[in-house]
Amino acid sequence: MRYWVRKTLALFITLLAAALLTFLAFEVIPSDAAMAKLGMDATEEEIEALREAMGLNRSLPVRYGDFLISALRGDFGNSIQYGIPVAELLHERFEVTVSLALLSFVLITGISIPLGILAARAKTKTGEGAAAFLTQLMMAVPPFFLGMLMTLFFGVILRWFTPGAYVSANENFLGFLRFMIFPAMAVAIPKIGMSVRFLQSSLKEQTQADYVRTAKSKGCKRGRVLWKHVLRNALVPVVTFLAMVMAEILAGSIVIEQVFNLSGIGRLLAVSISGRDYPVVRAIVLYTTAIVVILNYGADLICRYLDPRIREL
Amino acid sequence: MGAFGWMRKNGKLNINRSIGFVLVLFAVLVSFIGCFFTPYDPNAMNAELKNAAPSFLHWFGTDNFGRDVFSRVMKGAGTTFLVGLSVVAIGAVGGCLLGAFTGYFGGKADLILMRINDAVAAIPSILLALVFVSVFGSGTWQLIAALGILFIPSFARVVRSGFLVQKELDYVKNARLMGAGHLRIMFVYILPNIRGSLLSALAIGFNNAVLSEAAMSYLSLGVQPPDASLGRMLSEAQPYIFRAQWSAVAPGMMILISVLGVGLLSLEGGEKHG
Amino acid sequence: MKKKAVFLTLLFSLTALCACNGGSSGKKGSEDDFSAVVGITQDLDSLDPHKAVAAGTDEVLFNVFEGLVKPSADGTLVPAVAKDYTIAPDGMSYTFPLRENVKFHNGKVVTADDVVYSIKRCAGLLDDPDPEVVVESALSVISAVEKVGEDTVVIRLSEPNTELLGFLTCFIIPEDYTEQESAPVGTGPFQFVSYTPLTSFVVERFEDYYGEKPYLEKVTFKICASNDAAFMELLAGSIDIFPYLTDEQASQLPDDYDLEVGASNLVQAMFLNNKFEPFTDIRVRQALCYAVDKEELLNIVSGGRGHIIGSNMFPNFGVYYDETLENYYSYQPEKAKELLADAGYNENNPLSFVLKVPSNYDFHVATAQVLVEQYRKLGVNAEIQLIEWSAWLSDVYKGRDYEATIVGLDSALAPSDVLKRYMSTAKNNFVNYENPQFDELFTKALASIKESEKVTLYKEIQQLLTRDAASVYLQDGAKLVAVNKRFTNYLFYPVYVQDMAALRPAE
Repeated sequence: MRYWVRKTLALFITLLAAALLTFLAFEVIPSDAAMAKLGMDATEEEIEALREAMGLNRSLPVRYGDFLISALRGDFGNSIQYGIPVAELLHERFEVTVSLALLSFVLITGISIPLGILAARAKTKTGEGAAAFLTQLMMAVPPFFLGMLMTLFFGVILRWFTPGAYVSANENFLGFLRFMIFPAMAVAIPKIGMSVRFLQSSLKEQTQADYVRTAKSKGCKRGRVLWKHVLRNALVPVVTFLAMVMAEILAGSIVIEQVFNLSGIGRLLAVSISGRDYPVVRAIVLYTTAIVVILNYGADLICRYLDPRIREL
Repeated sequence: MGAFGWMRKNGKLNINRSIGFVLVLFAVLVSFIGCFFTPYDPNAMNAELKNAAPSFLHWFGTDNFGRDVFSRVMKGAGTTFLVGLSVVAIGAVGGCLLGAFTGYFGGKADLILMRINDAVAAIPSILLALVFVSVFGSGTWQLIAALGILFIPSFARVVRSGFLVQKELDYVKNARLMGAGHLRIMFVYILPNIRGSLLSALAIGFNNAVLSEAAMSYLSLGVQPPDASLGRMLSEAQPYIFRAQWSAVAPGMMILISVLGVGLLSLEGGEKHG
Repeated sequence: MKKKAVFLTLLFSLTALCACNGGSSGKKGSEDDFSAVVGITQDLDSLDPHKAVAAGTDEVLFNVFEGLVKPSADGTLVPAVAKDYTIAPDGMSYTFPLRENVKFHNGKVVTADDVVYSIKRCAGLLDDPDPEVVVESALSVISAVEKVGEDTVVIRLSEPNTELLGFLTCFIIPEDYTEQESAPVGTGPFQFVSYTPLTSFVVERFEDYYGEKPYLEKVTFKICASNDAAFMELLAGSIDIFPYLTDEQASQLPDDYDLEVGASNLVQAMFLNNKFEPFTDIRVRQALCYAVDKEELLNIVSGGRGHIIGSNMFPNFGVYYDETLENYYSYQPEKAKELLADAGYNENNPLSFVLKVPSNYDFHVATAQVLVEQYRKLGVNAEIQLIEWSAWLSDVYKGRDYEATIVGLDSALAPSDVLKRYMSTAKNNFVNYENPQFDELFTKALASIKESEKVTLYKEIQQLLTRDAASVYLQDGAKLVAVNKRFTNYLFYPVYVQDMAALRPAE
């Protein structure tokens, strides 16, 4: 019980800090919502009038406090550019980003964990080497280069999917899957390389650990029990890594969304920052923060389960 | 040859490491020469030779300004490696310190630092980039500073989770009983034991740094045109991928070679340990 | 072993999923002959036409809204909501009898009250102005908008101005309608269907339109993430019309698309801050003009397709445009060197400046790279600094804190609009140009009621800007449009619009 109270408290502190940092960031960078909204032809007086109307002239603590009070009530305000509630605007983007994240996650875990174990258990030096080379190769391909090549090859040449023709999951689930599998692959491939790599090196570390050596010297060679322990312990850094990857994908990838012409969180964020659409940016930052923190807790919990020696987190 | 047969060391030449060594050597050599000599002026344009295919005169063809891609790759590789290595250095040192302290001591400091860490990780990198530009201006050094800071959290997290496991192990307890100081335990005893994941993180970090360099140049932070960097060349070549693949493939391959090389080299780091 | 099996099953099912669905793809972007998909690369900044400031938004909303008059493809202004117009001989008032029975998309008939409201809203004359509405500064000469009878509107001015018609294209909207921002209502040939931010803007044919009805029943403006992404969709056949092709893309156009070439109607220039130390010296500015090889520039950035300009105006202004200025500063590197030497710049003391370029405009960034390289050959160090658009707006355009910048300026259908920023008092005089002679000529031209006199005056003004080398004027870029061969009659306008009502099926 105490654990959860503490964790929730920590989540709130992080959210407060992230929101404050966002406010401060916008204080520092040039231009503001009024200027961005009114464009080239507006006069100084018009901009000033809009600033007044938007409440941008109030002091920072007042604006921050105001924001916190509304946010506590679950009200993130209206988007300055689109004039609709932020929650509504974000809702549509979530479908794209969350489904991309889930699909990539399935690909990453589904492929990298078995592959990592296979690589680590490879009986020959050659097998291990080949696996290592392959994972390194996967990691070394720049994602947007990969995305471009995939669109070119699967979309334009083979016509397995129509680039940019995103299909909503509610309308046609198979069509949706057929399209999303490609951006998901582009997201997943480098991450698969990385997580295989993590798993493999962590397995290696574990097998060099004292308890394994002891067991080995005692003649326990191929024990299933031993292997299980090794795997469990070795998964700890991998889980931490996967949580980071998930947070990263859930925060929206501008690059992948650009290449595949998806309108997810990443694109909305880029547009909102350049348009100084404060309410949208703040909401996205809070969302991202919550995702990062919650996933990290999740990872910590799983790690604790995997390796009970990690007592206090 | 049991399940742990691969653990066994042998004195034979390791193929992956050799490949990695050759690749890195190649990349370093190319970029080093690029600092002093390039076949053509990397910025010289030629309207008659736009997007020319690779030829004897222009090994990797020319780009959409008629600039020699080979010369630009040579020049750009140097810039990119400088950025990649510096960023990883800043991120790793900062991340190790932060992760080691928080993971080892735990408690309140851990809580607070990790919360700040999370908050910084949650701020969109475009926003941070804009803040850096308005405070420090744009340029290669500013890019290194900005990315370096951005990279600290990911290193800190890896190091911290390693420390959480390691500090409970017997050798740490023994060391403490023998009167070793905390700093000594952290950096002399524990740190070498997590070098496996740390090395992975370094290799991945280098990879990410090189790619972030491209994204950041695009966001008006970092290497400014017409100067070449591999990331900038790659993003500039994107529109020409159908017709002039070479202008994307050359910097893309250079990134691939160097990242792959560093990755392969880092693979075998664990073997040195007795 | 079990895990391996699971993994393999997963892999196989994925492959199967991709493969067996392969056959059905390759459909066209639009479902039938009567609809078209237009690729755009900029999201709409507001659906309320008076709040929209981006040129890309006006371009799309042109299909939904109309003003009292509207631009036509040949560059003239034709009556729209108004039936006709008369300009008082003294240039002090404009009279518009309204066209009978023009309907808004919500079924309401347009009244004189709606017109008065709309003009007042654009001119900032409403009692309770909405701060988000950007007032068209040219309309500030309006002193009153009056309804005369039920079907005539008179606009009175505080000073003579014969060029106001070009600004009375401002869109007419219903007076008592409050949802303009989410469901816009106008009088245009197409009516609003739906809008999804960052995704699409959809319109359909308005059956009660008073004029010739469009052929198309439905037009989808698809908002693409980038130019490259849009072109990729075009290659896959999911976009019918794409108006922002780059030169490179134009040469890769698939067989089922026609390439239409028009002008972009922008003054692209390297604008110089005339108050920045070395640029206060006219010799330096002139040297920078002589040092640019515009032919080479065009060859590199647009395959030679743009139109070289020599002053702050573009060719579609017709009689007002002075084409003799195009070669005023021909490429003369020696002369440039001399001028620089006169001004005290040489190898030991090279001229250096920072060129701030908005990073979202690839075309301007490419232009900047070519200029920097051309200047380098003369020993001038120009250093590019990419800057985000909002920051450009605030620092460069409003703050005038810059040395040089490259951008394209658009204009309404009035020569005064493109030139007025050089008035020493103009709020948007971001080049800090000051010349009493210019102010005098411009005031005279604006009030002039004789067309021939106007033409002469505006030409003199252009010559003045060129002689003073107020900035380094480069080109009016080519506008390259890909149009699916299913359609013909894609029209180019001298202003920024995409007229979908004019499209006709190919035979």
